[in-house]
Amino acid sequence: MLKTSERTGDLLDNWAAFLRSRSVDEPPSLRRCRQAAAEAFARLGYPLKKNEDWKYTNVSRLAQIVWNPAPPIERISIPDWEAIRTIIANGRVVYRGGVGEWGDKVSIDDWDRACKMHANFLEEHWNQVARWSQHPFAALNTACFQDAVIIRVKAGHEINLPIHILMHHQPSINTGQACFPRILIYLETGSRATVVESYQGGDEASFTCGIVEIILERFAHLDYYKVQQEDEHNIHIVQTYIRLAQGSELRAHIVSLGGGLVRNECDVQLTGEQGVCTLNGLYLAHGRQHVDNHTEIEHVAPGCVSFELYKGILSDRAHGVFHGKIYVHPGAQKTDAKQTNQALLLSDDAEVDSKPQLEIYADDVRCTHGATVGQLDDRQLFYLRTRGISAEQARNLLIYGFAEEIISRIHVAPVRYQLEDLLLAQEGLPLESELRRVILP
Amino acid sequence: MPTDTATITQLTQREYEWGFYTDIEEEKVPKGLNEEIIRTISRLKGEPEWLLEWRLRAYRHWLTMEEPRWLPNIRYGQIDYQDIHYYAAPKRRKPLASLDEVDPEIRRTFEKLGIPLEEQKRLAGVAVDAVFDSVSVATTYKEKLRELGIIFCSFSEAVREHPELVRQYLGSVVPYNDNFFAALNSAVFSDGSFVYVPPGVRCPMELSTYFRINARETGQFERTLIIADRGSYVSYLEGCTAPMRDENQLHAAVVELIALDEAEIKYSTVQNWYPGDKEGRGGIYNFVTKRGACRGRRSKISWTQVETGSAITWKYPSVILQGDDSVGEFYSVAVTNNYQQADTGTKMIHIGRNTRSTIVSKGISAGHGQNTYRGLVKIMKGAAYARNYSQCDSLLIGDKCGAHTMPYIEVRNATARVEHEASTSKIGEDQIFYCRQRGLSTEDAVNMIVNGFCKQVLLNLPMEFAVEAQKLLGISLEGSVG
Amino acid sequence: MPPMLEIRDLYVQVEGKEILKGVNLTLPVGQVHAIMGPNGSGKSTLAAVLAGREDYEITKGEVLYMGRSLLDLDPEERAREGIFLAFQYPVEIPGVTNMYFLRAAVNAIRKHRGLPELDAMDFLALVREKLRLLHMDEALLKRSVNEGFSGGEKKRNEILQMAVLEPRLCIMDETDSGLDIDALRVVADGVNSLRSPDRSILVITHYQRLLNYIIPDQVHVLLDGRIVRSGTKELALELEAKGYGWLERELTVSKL
Repeated sequence: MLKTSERTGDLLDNWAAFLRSRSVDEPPSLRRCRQAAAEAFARLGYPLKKNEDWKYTNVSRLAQIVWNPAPPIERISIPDWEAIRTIIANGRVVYRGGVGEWGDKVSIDDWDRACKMHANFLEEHWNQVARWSQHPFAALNTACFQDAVIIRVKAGHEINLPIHILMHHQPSINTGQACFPRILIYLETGSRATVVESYQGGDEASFTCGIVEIILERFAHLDYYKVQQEDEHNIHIVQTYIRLAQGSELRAHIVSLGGGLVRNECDVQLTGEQGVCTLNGLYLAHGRQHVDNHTEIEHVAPGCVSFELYKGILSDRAHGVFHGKIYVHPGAQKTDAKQTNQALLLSDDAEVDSKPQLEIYADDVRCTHGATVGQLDDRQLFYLRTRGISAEQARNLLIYGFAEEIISRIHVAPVRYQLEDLLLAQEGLPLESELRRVILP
Repeated sequence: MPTDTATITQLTQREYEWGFYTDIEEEKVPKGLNEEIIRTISRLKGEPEWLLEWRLRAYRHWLTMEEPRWLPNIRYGQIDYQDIHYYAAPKRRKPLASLDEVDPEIRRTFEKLGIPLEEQKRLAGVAVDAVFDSVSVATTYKEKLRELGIIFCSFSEAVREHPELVRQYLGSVVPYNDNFFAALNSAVFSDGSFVYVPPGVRCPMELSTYFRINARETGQFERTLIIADRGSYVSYLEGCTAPMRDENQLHAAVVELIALDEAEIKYSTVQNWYPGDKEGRGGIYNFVTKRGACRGRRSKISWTQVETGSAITWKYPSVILQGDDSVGEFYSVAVTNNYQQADTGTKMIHIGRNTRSTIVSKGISAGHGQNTYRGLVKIMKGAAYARNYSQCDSLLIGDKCGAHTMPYIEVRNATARVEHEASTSKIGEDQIFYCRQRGLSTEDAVNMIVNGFCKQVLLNLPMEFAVEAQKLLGISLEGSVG
Repeated sequence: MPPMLEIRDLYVQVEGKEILKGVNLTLPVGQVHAIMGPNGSGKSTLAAVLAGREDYEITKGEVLYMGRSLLDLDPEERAREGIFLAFQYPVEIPGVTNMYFLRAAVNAIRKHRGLPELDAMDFLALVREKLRLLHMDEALLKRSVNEGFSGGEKKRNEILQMAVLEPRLCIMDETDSGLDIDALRVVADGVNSLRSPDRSILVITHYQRLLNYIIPDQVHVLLDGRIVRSGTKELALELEAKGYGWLERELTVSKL
């Protein structure tokens, strides 16, 4: 086996050649940034287990493969639900649906176009929240990304239709195919939007290494969904960096259904007073899936609220990891932070590791965290069965009940129905969505 | 909070009460650490060859280890391991025939600390082993305990009188290569307490060790070994103080507990080493390794600690739950004021079936104090139906301090249930105001609130210590409200 | 026609402790029987065993339901065959709406009986009718099963389920406990409305009070794991007046 450093070198060489072959005219400062990020990655290397941040997630198999750029693909099917849609296939923007009537309120550009038309904007906002110099995978993405989606919502406007970015990874080479999707979501003062990011495709030899930067200016409001349902063997490591200015609000929903080795990072900085950040996480893992949710919420400014709820359902030999740090800076008085993570173990071989952390340097705060690991409740199962529901159905119903707290917060109907159907459409259980659509207002 | 500044200034200037120094002739080995020093310590103590060999193995291993610098929240200055006396003992000419022969100076020291050694003044219901710097100077109630077959003596004496027990259990819970400070202790430990409770015996009184660091530029490296044989019970307490000095002194103890089938050990600590002055000068570096093994089925080990002293405390009293149905408990109060730093918590390692553990940790930070709970709950594959409940609460007094909670939860068995809760909040201004409106002073109000906050833990202390601990909490926090 | 329920010499242990020590009982079709007994006499154990709780060990005896052995059936099979247990402490199930739960149950049972499943509209019509009968608010349907319900709401929810699922044998485990007089009346009305010639009801209670509203055909007294006396509804009144101590003393005397 080669040393990690040699692997990182090979990888970067491959990509440098690949990127040179493309003719995007990047602003000089951003090109320099790529170079610096490549150096950072070469220096940091792939993280080892002794790195506290990677204690429970072993990425050593990444270092055993030289990752190559994914080739372009020809055809892709477009989901049928209504949205302002962009599709990234194998790392490149291949479809940009029209923004239609929203044209003067939101702009959605690919990297090429953004470099040409909005160089000043990029110089100001690109790479502002990603911590690429300290994080190996952020560095790798920053050095290697091929294309990007830049969403900009204009001040004071509200976009009522979800903005959907679909990331499709279609493997076509035998070994080591990587995609580096990159997204910037920028909400100007007082604007509101809903963004859905979904990830699909891949296989055991493919790697999705993404960065999402989200910047909310004052009083902006974003409903954000990340739905990951890639192939059960795909490697998925995506950092979401979020900065909230005064009075802004983020509601994020991080849902992991697929992937072999999954790492969802959420790094939130509350930099203005009265910011509100909600992270709702749900993951379902079976087989040998490994799902790691890694969150850090920094309360920099006083008077902010953060609320975090993660739930995991683990069966077979799946392994769940939760790391949640709440960091309250000196002076961030009146911080209100609450974090909860719960794991449901459904099989003898499922495992879970949990590391909730509070680091608090201000006194007038209210911070709590809670973590539980448990199983389905026998009394509840019995109760359901005495009403004629089979043991299998009763289990599914209780699993659904466990997840419902997250699902009920999902306001984009297609995303929500998909989850409900996934959890309930077994063994003849009626669909919650159908029931609600028919009966309950 | 606009509280009485005058009172506060006055209170912060309150000195550490136990900071006096006893002027007494001491016998010290030269400064520094090498194999020769270790041989000297072993010779001075008249130890058998196997123990010297064990010390040397530990020393050689220690040389290969790195001093831990991994805790991001803890900062401490360089420790020069060659600038410490590893052995200091009050000079004495012949072995003591009775307690009355204890050097009057030393006796006065312990009296001043509230630990009378004379027969007539002894603490009722508490047998005391008094350790002065590196050696045990007196053990009370020995005879009475001997009648029941209970061995309670200094570690040195145990090595001489009960070598088979020491040899069997020493290092069996904390191996000499466990960590940097445990290795150092294993190489140079000087004295400590030894307890053995025979099968079926319920120890009728509290056993207690009182540790006193007196000499300058010495480290204290005591070693405690407690074995509760089948179906026995023992409650053990330790207390500690040290003189005030500007330099930092190192205390690196090792405590090993072994509970066999259906045995129970209750271990309580009131730690009041010199914490340093209000500018953060001086104070003890309290880097100790405490671990218990519930070897037998239905055995139980319970740690209770009140940590108010030391400049820096690193300490994770842990329980390895090997026996089926065994129980581990950890109740802790840690107070950091001024520039104190504490990083404390526990590890509960569930190996046996139906093992249960409870963790209750209360951290109080004031001044510039930094207080961290760091704990691990690990449910191994075979630990079917294991249960853990953890609760970690932090109370902040003032805006310059920090409170941190770092639990690690690792679950490898799907029938386990683990629950962890933590909270951090400020001391209630409205509560203080309410108390003051009823005529209480601010510091009395703080005391009351803090004691209420810690009640769950204090209740687990033996009566004799609970009162002491409550007073200590008050004193440690004096001047903290601002 | 075989009786609805026949319990023969039933012995049951819970965690190694013998709770039922030879219970004999026959409940004919169309009748209402009450089982009374002090705390710890084994009343709730009997109810749980009939519903199929798995952590109860049956060491001896048999239970026949409409002439067929009951004890080998899973709890859901018993439910589908028409046995309904109204729990003393109805279990809370967060995240699952009452509506959803009920529909899953109704359709499981209908399927077992060879009936077509109810679609959402038909189901809603059925539930609304039963709600009216029990003076219950429709909003209850949207809430999670029993979660955050008051004691009275939980008991009424049990009766609602009973009404919707239309069982043949209803077992009511201390349905009166924790109810005020008004709630008790509503619950009793609900139960009475379900009385019919082809349905039997077993009312388990500590107090006679409920039996003022649900008049039993027969009363049995369970003491220390055995039925020690059976009689008409007057037996309940006698017990109310004299207390369980009376029977205990009498039994001790007769043993001597």
